Amino acid sequence: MSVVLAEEKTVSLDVFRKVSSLVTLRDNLDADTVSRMYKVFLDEPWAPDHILRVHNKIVAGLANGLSRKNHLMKDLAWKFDEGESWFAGHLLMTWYLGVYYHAERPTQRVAYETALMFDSTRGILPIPLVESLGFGGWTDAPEDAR
Amino acid sequence: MSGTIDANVIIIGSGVAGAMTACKLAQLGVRDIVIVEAGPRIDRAETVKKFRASPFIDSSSGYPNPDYAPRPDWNDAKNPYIEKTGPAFLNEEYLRVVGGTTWHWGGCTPRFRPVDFRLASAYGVGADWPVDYDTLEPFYTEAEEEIGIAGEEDDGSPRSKPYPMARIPSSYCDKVIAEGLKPMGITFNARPSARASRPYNGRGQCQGFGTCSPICPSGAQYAAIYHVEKAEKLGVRVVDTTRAERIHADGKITSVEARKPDGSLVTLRGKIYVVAANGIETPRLLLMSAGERRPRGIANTSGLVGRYFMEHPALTCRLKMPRPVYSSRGPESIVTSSDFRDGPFRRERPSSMLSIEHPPRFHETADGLLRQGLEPPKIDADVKDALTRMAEMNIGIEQLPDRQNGITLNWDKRDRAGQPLTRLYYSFGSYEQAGFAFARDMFKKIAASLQAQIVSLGDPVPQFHLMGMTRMGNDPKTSVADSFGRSHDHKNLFILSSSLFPSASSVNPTLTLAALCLRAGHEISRQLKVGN
Repeated sequence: MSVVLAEEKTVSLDVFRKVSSLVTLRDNLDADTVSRMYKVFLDEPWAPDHILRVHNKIVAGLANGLSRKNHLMKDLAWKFDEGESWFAGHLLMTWYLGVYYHAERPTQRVAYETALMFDSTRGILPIPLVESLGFGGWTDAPEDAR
Repeated sequence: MSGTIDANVIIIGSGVAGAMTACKLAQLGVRDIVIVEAGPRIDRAETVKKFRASPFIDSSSGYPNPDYAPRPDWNDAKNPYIEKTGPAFLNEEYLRVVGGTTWHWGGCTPRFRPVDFRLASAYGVGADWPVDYDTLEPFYTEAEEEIGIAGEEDDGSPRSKPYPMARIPSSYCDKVIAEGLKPMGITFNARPSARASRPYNGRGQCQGFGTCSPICPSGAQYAAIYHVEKAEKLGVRVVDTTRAERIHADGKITSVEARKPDGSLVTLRGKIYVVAANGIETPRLLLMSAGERRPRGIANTSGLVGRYFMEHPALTCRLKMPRPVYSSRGPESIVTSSDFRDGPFRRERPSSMLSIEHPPRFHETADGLLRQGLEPPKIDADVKDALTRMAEMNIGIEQLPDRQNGITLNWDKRDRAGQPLTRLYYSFGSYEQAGFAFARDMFKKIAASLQAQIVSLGDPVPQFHLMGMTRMGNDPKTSVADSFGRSHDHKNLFILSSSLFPSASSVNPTLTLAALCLRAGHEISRQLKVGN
């Protein structure tokens, strides 16, 4: 899915999807996970403002020649204030681990097999509780190594 | 609602010990057997779903932890279920559900070696057992058939019959490590395991989910729920959500008080009573049953109930291998080295078991890299590199029985069920410290031989093997029960738990416990026939 990038005035599911896509460098984020995660983020009073600010700063950076392919947050670090920088890291951690760490409420799982920590080893290492190799499928190295 | 349950045999606990004993008794023709279990029944598929929905990366969060049958919970540090005292780290874990803790075990089922039963005689340390290997061997064989064990060699424990199933094949990682350690002279054997390498008694072949603990999604790994279901088919009544909290005695055991979740009392009366409630809850129940006539608790004339707690403390070493080994493919552990299990060194340092482990480490790995500030695309490459090159090894040691290690009750503090809190003192002596020093040195040599980097080599951690606190022996002054698990004090009380072990060996205790239960089953049956 191509992402149309422009500064936004109000937060929405689509803006959350775009900022998630920008921070994770992925255009194919699972739609159900985006919706679920958006609802959890919106439980935080500061979330709408942070989603919008981080989105707009990245869009502005891209409009000024920032590459979308590499270390977006590091390259934008000088433009983020402390809160924005924290939020971008928080969003990235939530996407990778599939776990939302609240400051005051109990930790919550928001994604399992769609968590991005599984992305780089898909087809190589089975996702725990979800994928299996079949009997003896573990005796040789996977295709990745051959 | 209060009630009374009368039966021939009352068994407290539905884990591997209780369920297997019940089956054995039923097979021997004993009728009217009741198992009471504190926890609820659970469903495998639902439990897998709960783990996938849980934010915690542990072995228990998918299982119930209700107020009426509480258990240890690592994720609730503010309200510890067990009060820890003593200098050594201990973080115990077990379940209170129908089927017990084998729902989330690693399924490793080695036999003890003959010398493990006479540690004191052979090496002058620890304690001897009141039963020897030759006596137990037929019951080991029977337990392996009941549980369904896949294995290969005898590994120093002579066998009268081959394993019921062929071994689980080694993983690619196992083979790379075994090859890399050949120059050191280290050899690996198939680790006997309760995983089906072929369809076995209704269980399918292992599919390699790699999550033996917290749960085997396919059911190829044995869990005591198989024996619970088998017992029920043989006519055994299993009463769940009924927590035993007090045993009454008048010379013999006369009844057990239990509570339902609504607080109502259930009185259990039988001819024979079996306490099979795991290595901590078993001595705890005996101690909780203290009264005016028995201030030390039930079965405790010796004063040794709750003493001599032993674990298999282990050092875990995580390595970064020079090339990918794809560790988390296949069952969690397939091979071990028994090279350090026995020898004259046991006079000074413990028996040790070296194993290659394959737990999935996605969360810890990604979390660690995120906290270093990594972001895409580098984090993806680094996660892949770290996970595919990771290898994990474990050295678990034999802990000596030490009288000061064990539990007492804190009557001033209560758990969520209103029962006195368990207070557990735990420490290591110079014998164990020598084992840890050996393990640390061994891991450094292993890393060098594999040309690998040590990523982490931490402090000793428990393996959740709970042994020793109702030790068996021939002398009532120095032990709690005889070689059948029968209380020296109350002839109609059998204690069937790994708490019977007078010494620990360095290998997983469940198979030895199962063998003890099968042997005890014959004795209980005999005792009922001759009029108790």
